[in-house]
Amino acid sequence: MKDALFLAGFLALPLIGLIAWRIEAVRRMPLDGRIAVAGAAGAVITTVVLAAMSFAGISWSRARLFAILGAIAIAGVIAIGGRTSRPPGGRDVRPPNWSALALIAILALLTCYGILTARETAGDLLFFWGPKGIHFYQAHEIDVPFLANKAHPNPDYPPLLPLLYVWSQTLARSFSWWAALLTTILFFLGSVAILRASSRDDLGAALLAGVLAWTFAVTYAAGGADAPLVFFVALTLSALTFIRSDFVAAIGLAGAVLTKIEGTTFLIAVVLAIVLVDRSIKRALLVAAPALAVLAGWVAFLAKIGIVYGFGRAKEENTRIYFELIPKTLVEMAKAGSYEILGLPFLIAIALIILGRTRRAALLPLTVAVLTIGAAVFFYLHSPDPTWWIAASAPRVLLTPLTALIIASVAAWRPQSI
Amino acid sequence: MTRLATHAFKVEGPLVREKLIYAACILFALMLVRRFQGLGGPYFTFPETIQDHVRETPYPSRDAILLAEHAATVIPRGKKVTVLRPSEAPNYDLTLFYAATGLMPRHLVVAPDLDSPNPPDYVISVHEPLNHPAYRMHVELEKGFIYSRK
Repeated sequence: MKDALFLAGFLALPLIGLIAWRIEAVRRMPLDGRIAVAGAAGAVITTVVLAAMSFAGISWSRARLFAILGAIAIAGVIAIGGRTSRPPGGRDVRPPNWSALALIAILALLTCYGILTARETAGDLLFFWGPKGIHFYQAHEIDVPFLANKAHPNPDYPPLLPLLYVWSQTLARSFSWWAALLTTILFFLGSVAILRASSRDDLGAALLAGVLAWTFAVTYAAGGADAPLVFFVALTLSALTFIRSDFVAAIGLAGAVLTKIEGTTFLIAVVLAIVLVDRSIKRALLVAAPALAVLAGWVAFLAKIGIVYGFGRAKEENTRIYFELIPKTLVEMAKAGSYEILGLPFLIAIALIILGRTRRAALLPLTVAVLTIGAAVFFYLHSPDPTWWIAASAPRVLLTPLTALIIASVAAWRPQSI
Repeated sequence: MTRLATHAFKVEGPLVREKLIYAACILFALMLVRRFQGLGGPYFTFPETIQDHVRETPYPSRDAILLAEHAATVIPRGKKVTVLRPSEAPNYDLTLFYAATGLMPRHLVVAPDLDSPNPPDYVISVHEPLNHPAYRMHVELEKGFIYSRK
């Protein structure tokens, strides 16, 4: 029962974010995509509400959280005014590709098997994402003494996942390690649904499912923050590439920066890509504005409690960049990016982009992929011997550019008529 | 010739793409089955901990989970606790105590340092007995020991 209630906390996120269905581009999506976008909005809203309460000194009680988040959900229902069906013109132009959908189902089931038999567990769930969620819940606020005692890893990591775990514990009254692992399958399905619903390309969605099923297994992503980050990356880039919705992209970017420090790198890459590809600084800043606001809030909180580590490295004395290590860094990153299958996830995406018919459409996600890989190289070059650091982190760090490349490969084959 | 090849690809392109994606997805699925099989059995039994099959030979933190879960029920709340493998001194594997922070939230779980001015009240020793003059055995368990300060 505890496990089911904990998982229900995540399943309830689309209700909390139902207001996202007001966005015209979302209303035109198939149901799976609409639920996924609402889930993303719900995750961001829940995180912002819990963080804001904590910053304001208002402790989290069941009654308060149910009242506030319940009111937001009811407001969403009223705002969409019962318009749960798609407006005219939102119909699929192609019939479902049942073979591709069957493949997605098989890959999702395999991932579920891997998760439920403890074959994909993220060590970081056990070492800090889970502990943070548990301690925050027990403290009824963001537990500053726990973060500030400097005995635990990554105290300054963004708060989305621990705060969603707090929300789930509010329902379940205790932490469920197994349900925390299973949330990964929700983010997996959400990522695939968003790509499928926005591109109307079942085959492309199947490719994303295959790549994520494999890479989540070999990077041990279950229960950690990499699956949610991929979800928000997929949302942002699908919104910018296929449905041209700046609102939806803004939700994705805000989610990304609240999930991992790599989300901030992704934010910078998206802003630069919009400026370079769409030649619009104004649009880039509008899309980035909510993300910049929530990021500023989190960094201000960290500065107040004195634990700005990852975000503050630029200020450190040892800012030397070891340019002589570029070849070694690239070789080590290529090894990490091979994902124990000769780099097939990257190779197939690149091949499909090269063979694609509408490569211009792939330009924005492709630019983001290149920039995020460049950012990873830049960070690794700050270490005099980055070998261990790359081996330990690059397979997960490269999931962001890999997702961007898969989206680019789908865009490259998009029929001109859609 | 080139024009003919380009024309042929325009016609056959989507089919090539379809074949490529199906082949890749089937390969990913088969490789997943092979990987899961390689991580060892049992294959259809619900595991004891969330780390049971992440490696063929389980990490020590897998047993630290079981020990910390038990310790949470026998060590009084609020006591200072650490988790270690004595043979690793002084460079203890910190992941053992990291794991306990989430499993013993009502205790003060600290990094292993038995000779600090403010040492832990209890030590969970994974796999091995602890020989330290300031601690005596409290409980012996299948996967390790719990020691309390004398």
